[in-house]
Amino acid sequence: MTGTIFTAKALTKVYTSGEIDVLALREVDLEIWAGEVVVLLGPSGSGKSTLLNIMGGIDHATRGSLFFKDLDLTALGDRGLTAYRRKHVGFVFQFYNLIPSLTAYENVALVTEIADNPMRPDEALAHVGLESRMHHFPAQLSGGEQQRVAIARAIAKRPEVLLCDEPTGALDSKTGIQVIEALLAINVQLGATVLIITHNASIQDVADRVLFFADGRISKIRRNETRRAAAELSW
Amino acid sequence: MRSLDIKLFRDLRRLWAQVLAITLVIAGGVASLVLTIGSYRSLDETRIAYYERYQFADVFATVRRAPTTPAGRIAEIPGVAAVDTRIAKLALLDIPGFRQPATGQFISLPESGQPVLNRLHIRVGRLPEPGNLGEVVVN
Repeated sequence: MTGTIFTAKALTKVYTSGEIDVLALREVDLEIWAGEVVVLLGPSGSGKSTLLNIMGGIDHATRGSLFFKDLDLTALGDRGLTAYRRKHVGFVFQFYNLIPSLTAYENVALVTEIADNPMRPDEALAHVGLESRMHHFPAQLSGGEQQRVAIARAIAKRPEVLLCDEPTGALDSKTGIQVIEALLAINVQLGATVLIITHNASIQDVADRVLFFADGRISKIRRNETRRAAAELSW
Repeated sequence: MRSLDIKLFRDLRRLWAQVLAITLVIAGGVASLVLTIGSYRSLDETRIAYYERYQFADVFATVRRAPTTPAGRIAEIPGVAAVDTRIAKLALLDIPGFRQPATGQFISLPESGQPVLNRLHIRVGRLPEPGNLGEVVVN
């Protein structure tokens, strides 16, 4: 690991609904190291997705600071955040958000056509073991394969950070493990920092660190001395 | 070809029936618009041509018991191309078949020929003979 990639200080997010303020994130202090695999665990509404969205430049913090290396994300406007997302961040969501009328190759090409220095779509698909299915449409792929296409699309621009929000949430155990394997392979092969939100406690063993969330705060951080391989997981 | 273009063509091919229906609706709308604009312009040009042909006045002014001499001074005003004077008067008309008297407007004509402005379009008959006080044009 070569230094901090994210530094959050007193990061707070308040959602206002009418006269009610909902504190989604309460003064979170956090450092994420480059090349880490971090799992974020916690119940619904505990602030995991809010933190990930702010780190990914999808949402703004209400108070506090968040740096990506030397870049102050909390000082950026919409245009700055768009450039940040385009250049540095890959997203993987629970539902794959693939375009049904495009093949796996073309879905990945959507990103490579607008990114600086991307890898070829077939190369990105090879990273997730789908080179033989690149000309198939999403409807012709299983859920796990679709999620791996989504991962290939996320990594095709060679992002430094891969943010995954419940990437196995819609998958069964076997295909979920394949997806985790693909994410860990990306971490090793490309050196991307990988943050994974999950409700599935079994996945925490593949991480360098596990952040436990409760009520908008990080209630506990656990470092895994040894990381388990994805193939050893079961749920 | 870019992926978004491929997506567009595939979606258009898949939704060809809807695309055709929308195209027909838009074509119908555009055709209606073109016809409406054409009719409007045609009517407008016809009106302008009619007014030019019959020297329809741009400005009307009504006065009571005025002499005709100011007409010459009005004609000297810059921008005035032509001036014409006439007498207009309302009168009750007892028309056979009408229960109540009708109101008619009498407008004077020059002693011979058409007025300078607001010329008449004779559909049937002719203009009154010069000096014949018993003839009128009925509108």
